Amino acid sequence: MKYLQLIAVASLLFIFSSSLFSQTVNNGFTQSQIDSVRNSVTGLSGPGKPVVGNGVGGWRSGSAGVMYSGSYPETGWTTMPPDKTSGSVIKNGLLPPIKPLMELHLRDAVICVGGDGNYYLTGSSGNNIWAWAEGVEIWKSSDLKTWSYLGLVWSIEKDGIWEKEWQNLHGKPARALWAPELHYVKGNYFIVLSMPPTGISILKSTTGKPEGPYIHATTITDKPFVRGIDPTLFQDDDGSVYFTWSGANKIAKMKNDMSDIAEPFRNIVLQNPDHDSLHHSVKCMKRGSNDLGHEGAILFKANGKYYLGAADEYEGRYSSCVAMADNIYGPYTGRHESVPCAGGGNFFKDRKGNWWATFFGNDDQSPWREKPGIVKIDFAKDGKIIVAKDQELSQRPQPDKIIENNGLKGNLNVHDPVMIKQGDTYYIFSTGMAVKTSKDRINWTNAGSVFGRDSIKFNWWKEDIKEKIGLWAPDIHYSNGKYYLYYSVSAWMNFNSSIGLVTNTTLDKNNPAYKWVDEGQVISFKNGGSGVNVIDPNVFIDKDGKNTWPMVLTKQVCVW
Amino acid sequence: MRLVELDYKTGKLKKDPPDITTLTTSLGEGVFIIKGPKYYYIFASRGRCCAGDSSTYQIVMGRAENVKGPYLNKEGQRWVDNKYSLFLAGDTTEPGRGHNGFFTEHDTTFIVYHAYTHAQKGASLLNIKPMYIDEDGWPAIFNTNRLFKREY
Repeated sequence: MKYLQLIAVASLLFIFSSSLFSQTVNNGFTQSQIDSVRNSVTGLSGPGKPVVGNGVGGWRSGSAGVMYSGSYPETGWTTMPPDKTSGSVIKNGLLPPIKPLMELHLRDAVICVGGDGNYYLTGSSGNNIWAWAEGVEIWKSSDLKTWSYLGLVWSIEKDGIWEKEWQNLHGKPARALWAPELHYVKGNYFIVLSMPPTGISILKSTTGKPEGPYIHATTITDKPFVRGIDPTLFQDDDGSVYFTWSGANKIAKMKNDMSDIAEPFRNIVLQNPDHDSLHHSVKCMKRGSNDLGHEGAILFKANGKYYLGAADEYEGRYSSCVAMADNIYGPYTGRHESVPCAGGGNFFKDRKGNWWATFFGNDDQSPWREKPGIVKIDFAKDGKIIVAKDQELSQRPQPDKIIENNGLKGNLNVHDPVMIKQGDTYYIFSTGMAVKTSKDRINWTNAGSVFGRDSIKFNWWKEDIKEKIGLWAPDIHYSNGKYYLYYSVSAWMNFNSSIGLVTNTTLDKNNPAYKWVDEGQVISFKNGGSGVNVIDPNVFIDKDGKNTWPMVLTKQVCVW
Repeated sequence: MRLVELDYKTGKLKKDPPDITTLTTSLGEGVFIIKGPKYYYIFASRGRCCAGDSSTYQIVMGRAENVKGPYLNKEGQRWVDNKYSLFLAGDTTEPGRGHNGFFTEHDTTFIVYHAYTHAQKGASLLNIKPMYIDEDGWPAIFNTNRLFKREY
């Protein structure tokens, strides 16, 4: 009897302990469930491959699997439809025609300027960050153009502690690593990372080198430092390092040895929040549209101002929305969309003093998805982040390159051309108000632009549009002894477009009478019909059928 | 796409606010209208521009007996319903072609457009081609041995 009882107790204990075990280890997922996730995709992104063409396409990963469009497809990936990378952010002039750094599957791409002056790229790697990742991978560059692979610097399996546990991510086993960032602060390299949906770790290099090895910097090693995702660090001018994460709702200074926070977390106050529901994700909207964003925390300092931000859905774009303050704890004000479609990245100043935003592509308006890129930025007078006009790493070909193509020769790079002739010279006018000339309609030479290098020629351009003006898709005709040149006045991040008119009695720059006279705005978004972007003009001169040009006119119309 | 009337002398709006004619509700950009012997021909571009080798830009056309329309495609469907006929699409050498103007000299009307050119890594290059008219009275880019006759 006693013997039987003992067995019963023992088996009860066994049942109890195994159920306890299944609740705490790998969230109850079986080894075969985990193996099936591991075998479904690779957990490393690897060195990367050269960009083909303009680098459009890319990956879209998610709980349902991986979609891909590009030159390096692998088995098990489905085809990503073209509407997932429409590139409309470029077509609509919100972004210049940018190109990825390499063909590399990387989300949440961030670049750290190292203590040695090199640039270090990292991000969420592996082919499906909703499944699993090997750990933190790093790529190195001395010029932001050529990148070498430093490999896996921190392995979840070998170096992880609490991070090794498989989590329940949307009902499936996952050991994913989101938004790792490398920071050179306090004279050493630190990695902050998140293991969704659980929490965050802070690691430090044991060698003072970006390659590591890395160990936990914090006293807490057996559980997350904080719950949440997307951590970031920022070192202020006085050497203090601050920590924020997720939607950048809270901030705290770190202890000097980075072992813990040095003070309680403070809540961030955002003054004058942007209550336009189109400028927020549904998640933020449900909370009253009072937030900067909902994930992908950003914190940096430029020109004496602190910039705090988070990624949000801004008119359908996954963009970092950023506000400014004179004090790191706030209050922050002036929330704005920084670089369109560049949410989940970071901002950095290169060795020459230029500022950049990283870009990875996470919405249908992007030219590519889940590949690293960079966009040069400027700061407007009010401190807001704007996209820089000159992009060194753009898709734009060399404009003065000599090309022979389809029976034409010379400087053939052009967008939206129209053609006219004066005397023995043929002229092409095109987007950017760029001019080409030819004597034979075959050999073409660039001949400057209508407005020269001035970014603002006429004051009325600025009335509707405060950002940098783009002048697109001109149309030209000759009547009444004058050349009438119509053109689109538009801008990145702006749909307050209009059509302008300039006239000139000659197209010949050597003629003393050559001068483009401002005839002002012809029509704009205000009177051109609601919901219409007033660009791409064409003026058609109709006439009485019995008379020939340029006799009796019955009608002149403008279409766009 | 929209149309308004301009004053011939000033080149500006004849009336402000203008009477706006809707030509299409979603179709097209980079519009250009020319007049042949019988019809007004409208051209516009659609598809994906500015994406190098992945561009799918193409030029579409329609025609009308009145400058304000209704513009119809080859099947008689209306442009205002965003129905069009293809004039020039991309191929493997030039995946995207579009945003055209026209230029007439002597008896030849040239179509001027940009094409994303595979041999130049997807760069957008100038193209100038004579335009013809086909048996059914529709503009054609291929040589039909009959040049398109532009009235104005």
